[in-house]
Amino acid sequence: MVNLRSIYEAVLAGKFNDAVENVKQALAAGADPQQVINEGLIPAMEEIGKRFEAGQAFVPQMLLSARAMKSSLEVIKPLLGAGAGSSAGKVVIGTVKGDLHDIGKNLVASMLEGVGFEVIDLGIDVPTEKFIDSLRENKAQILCMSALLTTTMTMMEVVIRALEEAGMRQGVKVMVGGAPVTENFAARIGADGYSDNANAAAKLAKRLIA
Amino acid sequence: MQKNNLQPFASFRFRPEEIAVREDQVMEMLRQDDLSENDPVTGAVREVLGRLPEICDIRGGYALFDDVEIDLAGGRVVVDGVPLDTGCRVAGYLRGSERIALFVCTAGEGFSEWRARYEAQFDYLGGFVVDTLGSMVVERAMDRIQDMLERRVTESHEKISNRYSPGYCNWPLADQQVLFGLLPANECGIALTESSLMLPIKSVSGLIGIGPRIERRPYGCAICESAACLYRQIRHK
Repeated sequence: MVNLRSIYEAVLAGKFNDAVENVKQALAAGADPQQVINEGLIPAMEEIGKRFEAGQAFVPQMLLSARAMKSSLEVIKPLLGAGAGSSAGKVVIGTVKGDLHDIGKNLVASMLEGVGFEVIDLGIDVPTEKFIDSLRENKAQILCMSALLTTTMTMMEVVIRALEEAGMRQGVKVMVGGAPVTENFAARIGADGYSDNANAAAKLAKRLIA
Repeated sequence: MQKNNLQPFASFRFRPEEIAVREDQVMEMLRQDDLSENDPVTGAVREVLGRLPEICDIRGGYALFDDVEIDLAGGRVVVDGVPLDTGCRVAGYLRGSERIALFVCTAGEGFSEWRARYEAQFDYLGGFVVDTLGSMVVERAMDRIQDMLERRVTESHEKISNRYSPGYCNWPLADQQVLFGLLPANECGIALTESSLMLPIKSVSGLIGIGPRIERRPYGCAICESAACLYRQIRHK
């Protein structure tokens, strides 16, 4: 009997050793790797995301769950045949040029990965060209940009204009976030969406490419 | 624009125990102040705190400038003839400054190295604790330096302002290049990237106004009204 509930519980509790062990047992018992992801890992990350959004969990709990999820994925990935994995989509994410704050960006990246997206994380202080090149190389459908400073969030508009100039804007949904960013700012610079927390970002990403 | 004669730099070095970040302070910062002894967050905080002696390389200091002009209308602070485009807000906060201290401080490269080590093993919590502690250490070290500066200028019946940094309060980050041009090269081992970020990452820089009529004002997180800020939620710089 395959026990996916125990995987869900371990990831939600952030117990990465238990999560990995339970995943191994489930696979040994014949569970479908994609089923483990869809019914064990993703629901657990969605639940911790909801708790975070509701103020019932904090950054450390999110990160513990992210580790459990990531460690479990490492066990599962080799078993997913080429093209067999059902990724929700590809996302390029990064903190804009001139900004080194990445806690929020990392949470969003973990959450997106946790709900099934393939995430290409470019890190901090990302130049405009690097965003464009990565989107092109990876054929990503979504670009997520983060900034913490009012003095750097203006770079988001620069990247969007560069996307337009490169003729890529139609094929890429742009999401923005970070402390000084607002819904109004996102609309003004021509972004497709804004979110103020990791869980909302994951939901928005799914909606944008539905 | 830069002058050839740099002002003397008062340099300080601290051991981690002199900065004295306590476990309960870190837990409060992480909003984890009611956890059990066995909770993994408690364990992660203790582990990183125990490693501080090998992670930290805390250095900082300041240079004092007597040739100062506060251009309120232009939103500039002119130091030794070199204009810093701080914007009107910071220039206004510095009204009454007769001298300026330019400062830099770093907690050391070890914080970036250790964070990367943790995250390479998917230990994002460990990396986050390292990052948080790096911010706490550099700010507290700078608090110490600012206190020493305050004691020094009190002897001449002067007061000091808050500290203000490029990148904040609409002071463009690019001005970091100008600020560093007024200080000895590579002071405290801090270098600037092409995009004006400091390396090591856990570093701070900026200026402090000095004068008999200067006042400290609420600043930074204390006056920010962003309810959605993750850094407010975790009380983290």
